Amino acid sequence: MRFAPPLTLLLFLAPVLCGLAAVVLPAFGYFPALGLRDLSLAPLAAFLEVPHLLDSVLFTLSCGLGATLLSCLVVFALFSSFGERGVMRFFRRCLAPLLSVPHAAIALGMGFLFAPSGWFLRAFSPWLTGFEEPPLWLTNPDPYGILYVLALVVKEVPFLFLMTLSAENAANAPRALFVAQGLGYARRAAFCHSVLPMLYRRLRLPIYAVLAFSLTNLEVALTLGPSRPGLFAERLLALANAPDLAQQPTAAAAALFQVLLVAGAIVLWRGGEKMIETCWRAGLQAKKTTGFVMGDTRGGTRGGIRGGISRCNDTLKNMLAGGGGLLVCLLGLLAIALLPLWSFAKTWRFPSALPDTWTLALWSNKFERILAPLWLSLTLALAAAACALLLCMLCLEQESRQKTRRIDKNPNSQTNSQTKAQAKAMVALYLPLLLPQTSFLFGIQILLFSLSLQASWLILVWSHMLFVLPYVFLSLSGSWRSLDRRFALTAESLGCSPARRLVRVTLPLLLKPLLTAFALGVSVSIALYAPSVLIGAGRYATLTSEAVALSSGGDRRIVGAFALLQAALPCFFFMAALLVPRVVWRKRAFMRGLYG
Amino acid sequence: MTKQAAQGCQESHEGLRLEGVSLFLDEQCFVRALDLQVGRGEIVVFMGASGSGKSSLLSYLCGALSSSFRACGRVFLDGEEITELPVCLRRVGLLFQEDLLFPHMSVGENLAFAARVVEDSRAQIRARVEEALEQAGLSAFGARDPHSLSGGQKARVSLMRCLLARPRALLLDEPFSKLDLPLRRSFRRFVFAKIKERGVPTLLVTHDPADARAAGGRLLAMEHLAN
Repeated sequence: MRFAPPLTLLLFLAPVLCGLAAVVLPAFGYFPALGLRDLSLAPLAAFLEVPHLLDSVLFTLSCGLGATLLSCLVVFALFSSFGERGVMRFFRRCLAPLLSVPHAAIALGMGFLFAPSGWFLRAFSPWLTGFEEPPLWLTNPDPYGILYVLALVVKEVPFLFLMTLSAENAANAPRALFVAQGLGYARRAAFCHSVLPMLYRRLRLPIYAVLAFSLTNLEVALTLGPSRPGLFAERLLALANAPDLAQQPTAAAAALFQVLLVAGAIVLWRGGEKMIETCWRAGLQAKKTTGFVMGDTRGGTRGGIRGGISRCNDTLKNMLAGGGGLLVCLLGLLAIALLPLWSFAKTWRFPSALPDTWTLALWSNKFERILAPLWLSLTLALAAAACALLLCMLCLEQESRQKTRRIDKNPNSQTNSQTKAQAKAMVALYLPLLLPQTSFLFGIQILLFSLSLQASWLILVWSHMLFVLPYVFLSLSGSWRSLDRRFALTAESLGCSPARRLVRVTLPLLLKPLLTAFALGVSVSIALYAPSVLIGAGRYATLTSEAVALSSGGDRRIVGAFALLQAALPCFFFMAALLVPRVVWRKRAFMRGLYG
Repeated sequence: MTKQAAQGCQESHEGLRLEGVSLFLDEQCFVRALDLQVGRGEIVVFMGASGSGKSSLLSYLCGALSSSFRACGRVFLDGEEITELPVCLRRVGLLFQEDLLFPHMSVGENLAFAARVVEDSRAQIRARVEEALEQAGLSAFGARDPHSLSGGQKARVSLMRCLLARPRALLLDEPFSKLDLPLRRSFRRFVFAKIKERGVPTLLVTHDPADARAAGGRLLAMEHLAN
């Protein structure tokens, strides 16, 4: 138990750092496995020779920053405009299911929706557009990356929305809002001045994670990203998987560059934060707060024409904010709904909005084709989530034990500072959220290659765990730390040993958060694409890797089937996490109320 | 004072004994070199403003002092030193403002959770639980969800749970302050009667002078302990 936090960090930081080291050294020409032992800048030079590099980098940056900015805007607009619990509950119900759907499934669904023969055009053809056949448009992939950004926004808005919701509870936002409104600020201005600064501090890490993901993800880039010049992550993957081994140092240089790209983007974003903060502080000093962005400072109590204009303005802004949120919900839900439709369609000619004839043929004929990836995905997800949950539990239990200590004779003991140092070190758990997946997984690939290790199921589980653990920890730590410590103390004072107390009191009380964290772990693992491509080296086909690989093939039925399974599995676990506590605690009123 | 309690005072190795206990948070001293002997069935009352270290002193005595505090001194229970014993081996009972009944167990399971530590057989545990329910005036309530009990009922179950583990000392942290006035009086009488009946040395922390009067024992002000 005492060794749980250091062990977790070791399991964690060691591979991350090794992965990075394994990228940095080959990038400077040191690659003993290939017989390269002299440090040189040749790989960097070779990397800079890659055609259309600058275009690709600028395009990646603009798409990544754009998607993140747009997601933040949609979420903050919703929170600033609607205080009513009903409206927010509506959005929570629509957005929460989207959170569990993997990026790849959303991206594939969006492809189905917006392709020239996609459902969106079908809905308006031929009665409005006059198209009897799909037009020869380039929408998927589109040359401007609009679909790519849109798919990312649809997936990131639910994540940021739920993070904001929990941050709002933690920051006691309603009270601050109430006070500001009492001072005469209108709702939107009150939110922006009094709540947003507090919320943003708590949201910084999730936003940076969104930014890093938007810049570096592979699954959305491969399904929706434009092929020329291509997003940077895509090109990195091509270099990394190049059959010519001499390309590996060049790929390492590219991977190193991707780390710098993300770091640069985060610095850029941080600069933007600073600028807005400076403007905001200057605005507070000014005599009259500008209505720009913030909305009118005063409520709609003014009479006459100006009051009317202000009220009109207010309604318009509410509609914009609500419209943005609704659009995200609608696109996401439509995209998911199209997956099962395709997998059960037999013939589905262009202008019809629904399949002309239905069939189960795909599910019965291709069953064996589907079963192997399904089994691999499921076992990987269960193993990775279970390991991650166990490690998180042990770390959190150890943390709460260290908060109290038995009395030692030596009053100058170091326990206290040690505890604090360890708590700080746990922040490192979040590192894989910010590091580009492709870069350090590629490093681990090089490492395995150098040690002549074969990729195995266990290594795959462990690479999944690297990404699952931060989310499980993020999800579990809040409830664990806020559990009334006196329950544990009371149990132990009754003569119950700490181990028995953990099993009989702490874990049952935390049943719902534990199941939710596990379901989240499963959904993260199922959604992962990069580990199976880079570590598994193509030999381990998961639902996600199959769906992405098939997406360029054109058979929408089988793609639909894979994407559907990929979306359904996490949903199943989340439903279980919701229902199991209700059944187990059907006779315990307090437990049903605990944690909503 | 009952006969038992009087005996406890005479035999100095019985009951709870503190020797030179000091309690610090950073540079601030809450308790300096406190020596105290609490006899069997005796109730010693600590009073003081919030933040004066009352609850921390109780945490220290039950073995769960927050790691930001520093403490030194020795604690004895019936002649045995417990200063470095873990919480679960001390057999020091705790009662807080809130009842802290485990919300995932029934009333009976809550009581059995405490009884199983000292009883051997299932039949004995069941008998002790029945007995405790009866003493709390809740005979038919064993299968009930604790959430469905009234405040006074919960408080009584909580005390009975504490006593079923046969504590060698009791630490009460403002256990009456959440109850309304009439309920507070009757529950206080109930608690004090049980303490005298079983002869448990008890420390009571409170804000309310009425609690201190009802306890009828020694009264210590936290402010005086710091110097």
